[in-house]
Amino acid sequence: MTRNKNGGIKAMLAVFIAMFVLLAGYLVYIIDVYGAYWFASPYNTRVTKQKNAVIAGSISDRRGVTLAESDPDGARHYSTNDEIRLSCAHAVGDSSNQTLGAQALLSKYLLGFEQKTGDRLSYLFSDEKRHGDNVSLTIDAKLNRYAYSLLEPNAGAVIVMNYKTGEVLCMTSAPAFDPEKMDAYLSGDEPLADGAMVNRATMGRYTPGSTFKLITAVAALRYLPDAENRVFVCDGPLAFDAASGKQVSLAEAVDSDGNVKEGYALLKDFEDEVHGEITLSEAMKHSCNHTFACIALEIGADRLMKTAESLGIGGEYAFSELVAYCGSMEKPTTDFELAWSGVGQHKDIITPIQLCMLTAGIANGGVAMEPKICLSVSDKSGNIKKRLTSEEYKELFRGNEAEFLAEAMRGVVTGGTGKNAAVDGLSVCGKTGTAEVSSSGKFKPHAWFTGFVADAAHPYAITVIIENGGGGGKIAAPMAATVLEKMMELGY
Amino acid sequence: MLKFRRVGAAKVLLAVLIFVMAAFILLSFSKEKFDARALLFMALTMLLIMVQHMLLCFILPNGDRLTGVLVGFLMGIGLVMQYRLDADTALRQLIFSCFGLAAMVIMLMLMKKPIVLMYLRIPAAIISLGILGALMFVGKESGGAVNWISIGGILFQPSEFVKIAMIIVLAGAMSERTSLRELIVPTLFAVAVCALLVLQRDLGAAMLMAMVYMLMFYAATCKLGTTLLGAAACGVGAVASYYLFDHVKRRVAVWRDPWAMYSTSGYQIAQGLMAIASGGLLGMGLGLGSPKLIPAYRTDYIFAVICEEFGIVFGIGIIAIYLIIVIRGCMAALSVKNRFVSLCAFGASALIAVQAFIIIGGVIKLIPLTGITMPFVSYGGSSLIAFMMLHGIIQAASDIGAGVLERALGADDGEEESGEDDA
Repeated sequence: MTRNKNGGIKAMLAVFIAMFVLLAGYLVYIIDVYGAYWFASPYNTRVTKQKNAVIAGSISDRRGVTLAESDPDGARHYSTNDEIRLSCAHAVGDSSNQTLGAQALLSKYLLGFEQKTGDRLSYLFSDEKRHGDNVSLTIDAKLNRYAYSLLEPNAGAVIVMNYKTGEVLCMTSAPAFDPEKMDAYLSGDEPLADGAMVNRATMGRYTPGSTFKLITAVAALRYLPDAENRVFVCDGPLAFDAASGKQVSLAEAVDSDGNVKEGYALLKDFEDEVHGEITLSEAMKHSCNHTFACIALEIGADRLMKTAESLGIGGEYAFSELVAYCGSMEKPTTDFELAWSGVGQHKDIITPIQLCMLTAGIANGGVAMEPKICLSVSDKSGNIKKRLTSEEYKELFRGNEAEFLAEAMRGVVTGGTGKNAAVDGLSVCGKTGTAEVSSSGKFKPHAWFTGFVADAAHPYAITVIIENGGGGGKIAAPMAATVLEKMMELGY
Repeated sequence: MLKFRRVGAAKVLLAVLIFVMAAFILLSFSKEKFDARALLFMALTMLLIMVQHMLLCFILPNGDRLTGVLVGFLMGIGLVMQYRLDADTALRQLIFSCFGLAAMVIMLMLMKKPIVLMYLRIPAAIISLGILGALMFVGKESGGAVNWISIGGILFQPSEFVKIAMIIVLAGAMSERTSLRELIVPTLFAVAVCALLVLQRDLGAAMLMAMVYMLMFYAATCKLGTTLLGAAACGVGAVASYYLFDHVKRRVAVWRDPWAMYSTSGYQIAQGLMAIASGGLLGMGLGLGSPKLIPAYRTDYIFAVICEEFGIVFGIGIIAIYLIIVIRGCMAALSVKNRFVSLCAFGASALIAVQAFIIIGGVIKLIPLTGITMPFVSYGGSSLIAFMMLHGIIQAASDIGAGVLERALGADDGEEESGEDDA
């Protein structure tokens, strides 16, 4: 028996060990990443089966205000305050898990799937119906109600996150459904507003408009030499050949009266402003389309896409306590598309929660925290079984990117397009966005504001969108300011 | 390496018996009425595990006790799960287990005279091909694959036994010759078996045979280049079957996104994943899950059922137990001087390893799902009997190897090391 002959068996033994380590590792990995998601799947009939056997635990907000509870017969009741019930509907969810709120995503606690086998068996021998555990959300119902009242009658969403811990303090989406009327909606007896079941804060896929300039700015920092100190020149609109999408000189596209010639298209600034010589940070302050479009053209579609991807655009979120969508981008194929893509139009898409996480990442020195909605889980007698554990989601911004953007965003609020977001006593930083959603001008643009408070005592990031609300600086920024003022009043 | 044989197997055996006892007692209380039959099953299962242990002790003075006990544990958990799912099938599984013990003993006897087994390999190969060929015409369809045959009212799955024939044929040929040119006949045999299995839509078995062939070829010859070439050929075959057969295409599509086709082909995988996710770390508790939602819960999906009720920690424990069995099987192969016996033991270990990997990997969506049984645990007579024969091969090799060593050393090794974790 030579060594060589046994060498084959030994090598294969190593292969077997690797195979089984891979199996075990993959099992842990996939359950860690997708477990909660699969468990909460509406297809998981184990949950519905358990619903009939177990009295589900109650859901309350972070101050203990009850948002949902079950009576001893197992029937589910929601807050009796209409405004609280509607404003928290998406965060809480409904009884039939048509929407992906806490009722669906935290059902493993509410229905007692996380209880110990011993506890569960002890219920088998008693006549008492089994109780699930009670859940406290990170949401503040008062704040939610206030934000919802600001949104109405428009459609839109407000989301506030603690950028140090990831706690979601406010998450409201208008129009909302009424969880008490779910059966009536499903049978068609009660009309349901368009998209009322969709949580716009986490799943609303919107054109980002100028808020996308945060991403373009990161691309500039990464790919343009000395972008921070470079002087850009904004000398009016950019002109393109409409058919080929190629950039042309302005003189070629405009006739002597200043009107656009047939077959050409322009990319203009808001109210046709011309900003002249401008730095990147000033361009952010005034939301200069010209500069950001030029940056996009200069770095090219590939690098713009690569930057956006590194920030999570086109990715997939798998949070344990929230179902959230990411934005997406389609690769621009012409100069015209690329220029518009750089200012958040073309086919750029973002979701409010993604924008909020980007903002939170900037505020938190580059690291975005995973959004959390479950503050604590406690059993029937009030013993706390699980507390919020903050987790890093990802380091989105590298080097001094976060610091640079934070400073630029401070400029936006102190003297730029976001002036209306200023709150006395707080150093608010932010970025406005006005997303054009119809080329004909038939609909008003979506109004965006995303920002944060740069005070260690108030580590909050806020994102506001009002569908067809108008200008971001005029409509969304003041709304964000009011929400922040309300938060100070509530003691945050 | 010499001391691995008698690793406090008695302690592990005790733990296994306590586990089985606790599980059946729990099951006897989990229905509305006290279920005395569970206690009968408890006694029978414990007896089965002990009888296996005693048989091995009696026939093989130097056999690998720990492997025997761990195999007993896997059979035990299989019987617990079958009883929890359906008492009647559990009874049948128990009967299959007895046949399994008998088959193991026969294999032990055969392995005492390896030369007989060497001669048996030619008829075994011919019979294998004959049965697989005949299946094309008289096979019964089950679960999309035509791989069952009915003899006198009893359904057989011949591919389970073809695996053993394959190992013996390959071990026989490879123990004498090592160049690919000389191995052309066994190679053609392997290719023919794989091709027949693919035609019968038994993709799992085909994949398994191909992988076992590669592993045995490398183990016997140490020719990395040729092995990789063979693996590449298998890869080409796999890609070709993807384009040729719709059922292969569907399997891959379902693997990539089972949720997209939840109501049709994705149902099984999605249900399995939900079951594992619902179980969480420590499981829902024996008898408290909903395993019958998953198609093939008794056989291919038993791993998901175990994870649902015992948790993924336990699931990882099962994976670890397979690994221990495989490692010790390979060590037995290394300890034997007789090249044929050594390769037989290696082939048996490889088969257990690859089959466990393919089915567990399929259930947890690591690789596309192919329907094969989980060694020693899944419901099914053919599978259990075949695996007990493989276990017999490993045991016999460990006994021969230890005998050789002990004679060489002229002394007995003391008992050392504590048992592995199981329950």
